Amino acid sequence: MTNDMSRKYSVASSPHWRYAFTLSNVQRLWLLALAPAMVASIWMYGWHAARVMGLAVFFAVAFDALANRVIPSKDSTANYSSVTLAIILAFMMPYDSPWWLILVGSFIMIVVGKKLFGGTGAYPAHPAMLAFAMLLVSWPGRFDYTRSLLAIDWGTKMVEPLRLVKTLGGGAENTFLWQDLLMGHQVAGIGNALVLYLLIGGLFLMLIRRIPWQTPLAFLLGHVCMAWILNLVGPGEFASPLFYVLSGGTVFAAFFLATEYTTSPVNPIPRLLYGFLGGLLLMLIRAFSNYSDGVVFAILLINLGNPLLDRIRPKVWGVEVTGNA
Amino acid sequence: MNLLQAIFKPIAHVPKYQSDGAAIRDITDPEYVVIPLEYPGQILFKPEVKAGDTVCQNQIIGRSSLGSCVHASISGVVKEIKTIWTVRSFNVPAVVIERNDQPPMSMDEMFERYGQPFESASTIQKLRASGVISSWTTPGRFHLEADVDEYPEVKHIVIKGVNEEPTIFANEKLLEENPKMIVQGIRLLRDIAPRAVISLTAPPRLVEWAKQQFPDLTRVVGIGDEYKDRIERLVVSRVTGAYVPNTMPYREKGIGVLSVEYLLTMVDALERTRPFITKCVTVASCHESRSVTVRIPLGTPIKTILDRLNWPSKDYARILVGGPMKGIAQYSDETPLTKSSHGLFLMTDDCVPDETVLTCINCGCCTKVCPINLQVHLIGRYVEYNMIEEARRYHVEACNECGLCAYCCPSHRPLVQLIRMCNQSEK
Repeated sequence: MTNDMSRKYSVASSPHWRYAFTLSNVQRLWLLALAPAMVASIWMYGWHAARVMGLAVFFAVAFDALANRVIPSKDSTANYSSVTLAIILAFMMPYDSPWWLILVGSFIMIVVGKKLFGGTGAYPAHPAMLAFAMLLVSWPGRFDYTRSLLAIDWGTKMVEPLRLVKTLGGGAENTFLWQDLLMGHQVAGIGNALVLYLLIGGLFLMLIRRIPWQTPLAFLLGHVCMAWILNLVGPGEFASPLFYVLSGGTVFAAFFLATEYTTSPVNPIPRLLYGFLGGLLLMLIRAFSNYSDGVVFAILLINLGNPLLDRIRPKVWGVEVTGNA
Repeated sequence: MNLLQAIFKPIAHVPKYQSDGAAIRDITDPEYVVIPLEYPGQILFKPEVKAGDTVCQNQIIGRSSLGSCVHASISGVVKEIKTIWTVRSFNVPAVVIERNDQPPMSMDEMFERYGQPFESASTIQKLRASGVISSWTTPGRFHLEADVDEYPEVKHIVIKGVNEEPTIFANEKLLEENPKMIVQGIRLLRDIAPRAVISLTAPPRLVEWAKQQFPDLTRVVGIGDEYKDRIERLVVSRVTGAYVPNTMPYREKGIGVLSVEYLLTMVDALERTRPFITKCVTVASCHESRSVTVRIPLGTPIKTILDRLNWPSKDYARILVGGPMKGIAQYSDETPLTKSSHGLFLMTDDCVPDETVLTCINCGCCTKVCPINLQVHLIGRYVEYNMIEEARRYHVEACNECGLCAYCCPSHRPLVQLIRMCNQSEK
């Protein structure tokens, strides 16, 4: 009677409701947020931008699939994470990047940066940043954006704004109109300086709560604070905070690089600190290093601080003073 | 369209259900009932009947060492005493009674057989004789019957007029249907704990009504229909101002928590109306966001309820006792419902979520929605890699198992299951 039943039912642990949202949905939302910049990039740079992005995606997905075949893992190629990473890497490449540069970059990004550590969720540093840093160090000549854009003229000074300010001093910022900088009419990678379009995408992600508000805002705040201090100390040497926010990859870093899930903290206060530190480091690198735009190194540096920062945790409800954890 | 809605909804937004608005429906005629003689970790009854005996409704069929009783919920013949699997998958002894249509036993006779006539019995004896066990400790993992010889001093009593799960409306309906008895119940509580502050939680639409109906109450607190606002420990904390973690019975902080249904059974017991032999259960399914509330004799198998409602059990792939967030999946539809079952939730094949466990991407949704600030993203990964000791440092034991973390995880990780694994593995 009671225990010999005609039919067995499926059992599982609670909860039995799931939010109808998967990893690939999240990654596709990121791609949607990057889409305005992608379209603007193709509009501005022509088919070269499409070529760089297409090659990056192709190589990244291919490497991901190959790596998955060699070392099978739960991080499947179908979850779009490689596509997002590839677009982010492509955004930082100059528009005349040769195919082999993208191939090497994709290899480092997917195989070394991502798969070797165990895939999405396991890597300690942003794979796209790791790959870009390696390319930048190995082939510095390939990343002279000014030379690569000789053929294009947007009616503004076709020199990397940050490079010009670095060599000529803060006064050189007047060479550029802020409107031009905002619209992305500045010499940079194919997507990382399309400030307005990136801002639209970033705010979209923030609005749908897929990235926290703390990290990007603190990043921009940290950047502005440091720029303001430096500007006070040496007005002739450094440009205004607004110039630093609008030029190069500042907005890109704040909304799309510093908020990368795996390498950024989870708790609110660490997120604020992490972002602030990132913006601050970025300004220091821009001011005192040989690199004109230091986004990649600033992000890699704060990535290292992530596990340490995330130790600042909110108190668990109803638990007496913690002590060890 | 659905995708758009999913995109813009706040992350911890669990679907909402509506009560059907109809009166509670009585189901009185199951072919048989199965009444467990043990609630593991809580109470064990010694049977007072044997196979072949004829029993009447209300008759005592088991008694614990402290004199708490369990009763026949229908009149009939004891078919056998055997072991069954309970809702929570415990193997316990139970009495199987097959229905015949004898009249019920009178309450006076029941009390006489108990050995203490109603007039001379103390309050606690009346409650024990009627199968109503200590309210101040329910629900609690540490509830032992022997702990409550006397009522402890309670400073605050919370009456739950709202169930925790979004699909269960039993308490809400009982509140609406029995205002007179609740007034009586509140008076009884006042007698038992004269100095206590008594609060009632109610759905927002009933707050004003409840204030008028129950002037004896100190407070009526409206509880919205958002699941995260209905989690019991947090509701109690909002009402009383003291958070009692899951690891501690409410009573330790001088708080008594009882549901409207419990209050009504208490009134029944002290007014000599009937012992604790019926239970209100809300039945809902994943397709229509509506539900039916029924009153059943204790020990009615799930199958009987569904047959009487014309919701054939063969249509469903998964049957939960409780609601979708905390409910327990049953492998069989013959499981009898007991005193601690408040609802049934039925899922068809297409509603059952895939159990595709992907890697954690550290997005932090789980930690963000956790109502008690657990570091779910870390705990989940520690337990996944069998680092139980490390996970314990993050106060896993405080988890209420509300299920919000697993609900919103985009990797569909079984986070609650991992937490349970951690809590139940040996030190």
